[in-house]
Amino acid sequence: MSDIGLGLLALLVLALLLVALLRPRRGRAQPVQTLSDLPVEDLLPRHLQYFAQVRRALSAEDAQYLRDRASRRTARRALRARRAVVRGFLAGLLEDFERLERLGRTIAALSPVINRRQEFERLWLGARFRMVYAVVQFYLALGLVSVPQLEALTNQVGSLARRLHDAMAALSAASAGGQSSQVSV
Amino acid sequence: MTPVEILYFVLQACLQSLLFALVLFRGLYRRLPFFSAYATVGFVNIVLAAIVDYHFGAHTFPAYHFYLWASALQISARSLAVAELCYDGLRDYRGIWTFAFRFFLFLTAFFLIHGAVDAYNQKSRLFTFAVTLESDAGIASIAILVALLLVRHYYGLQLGLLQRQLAAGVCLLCLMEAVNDSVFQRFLVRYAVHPPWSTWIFHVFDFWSFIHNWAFFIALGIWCFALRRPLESRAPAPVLLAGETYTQLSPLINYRLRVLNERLLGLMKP
Repeated sequence: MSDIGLGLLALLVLALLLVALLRPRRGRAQPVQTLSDLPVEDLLPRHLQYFAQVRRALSAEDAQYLRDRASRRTARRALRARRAVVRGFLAGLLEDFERLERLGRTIAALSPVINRRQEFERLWLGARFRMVYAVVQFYLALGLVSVPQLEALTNQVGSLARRLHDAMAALSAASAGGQSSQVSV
Repeated sequence: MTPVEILYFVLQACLQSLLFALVLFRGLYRRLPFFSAYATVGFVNIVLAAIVDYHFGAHTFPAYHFYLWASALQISARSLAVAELCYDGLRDYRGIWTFAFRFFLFLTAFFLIHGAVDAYNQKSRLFTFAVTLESDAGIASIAILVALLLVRHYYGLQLGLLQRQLAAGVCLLCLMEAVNDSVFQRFLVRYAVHPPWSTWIFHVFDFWSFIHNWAFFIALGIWCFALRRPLESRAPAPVLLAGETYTQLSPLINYRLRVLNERLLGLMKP
């Protein structure tokens, strides 16, 4: 009976998955047909410009100032607001990560040959990033995330964004000219 | 045949004929030949079933044999139609198709071997293999279509409306047959002979038979609905990149994603 129950459960999960996947997705962009269709600006990270505000929101001086000058209630409210800003910034970083992932997937979709190992690795990295992201949010709620660590992450995304932007520009130029190119990211 | 059986037979005949006519009229055989063959097999089967029932009776030995062979033919045609839907859904993206094809093959082989192993120790191996195979072919079809949709979803490629509707019909049908073969034919039949359970189980069978039949009609209805309008012209194939673009960019993007993962992990370190 347990085998039958498990089988039925598996079929139910498959059926629900099918319903979700078969539903038309409104407002979704058309599949990319050529490399020049790729909205490069949409694919590259763009939440880094707000890091200055986030740095301020997390700074120890700011916190000290609030503790010294404001009432306890106001300080607590301000602290909550600062955490919300950082949480928003982290959400932006996740969005940036997803843009990079999408770039990788789009290149794979338009490639005549793809490498199984590379594809599985990207899938795993995406899943891992999301899991760690959830834990980091929990850490943030406890106030355990510091500015230097966040800054290092932001710099990493920023350097990647610049290099990818250059690489994509080189690729688009090569694609428009109908020739292959040597790209380095 | 009871009046209800006659009603179901007439309804099925009407829907199968309508589907067959639409397949011919819309020229679906030019785009999806195997799905068209599946619709044709369904139509021919219902015509032959009427002839067999008329000459030999509905619950006779020849009718039973006809049913077995017709089912085998229909399952084979449906499996080919599923394979065709997969190929049609990914053929423009050569890299992904090559990647996904092996996975689809693995799923098919797994379920075929499962059917054979399950049948090996049974008394009536051929019958068990046929029933298990019908169930496994259904589950394999659903699993393969789910895999196809997941692959397309992951790479941001949406399946065309026609293919989506045809796949929905196939999935509904396969789901019902998988439940029918694995639960009702193999499990509940064992308990139907025991007096305390038999009355209750016969009621369940009646109810299930009703659902099973209507699911089949709904699947036929979905396919007819999908073909109600002329087929849209095929979208132009995407312009693929040069092979080396992927080999150059993908490892580097993965490297960067890896580094981002490490940095994110670093946020948790004191």
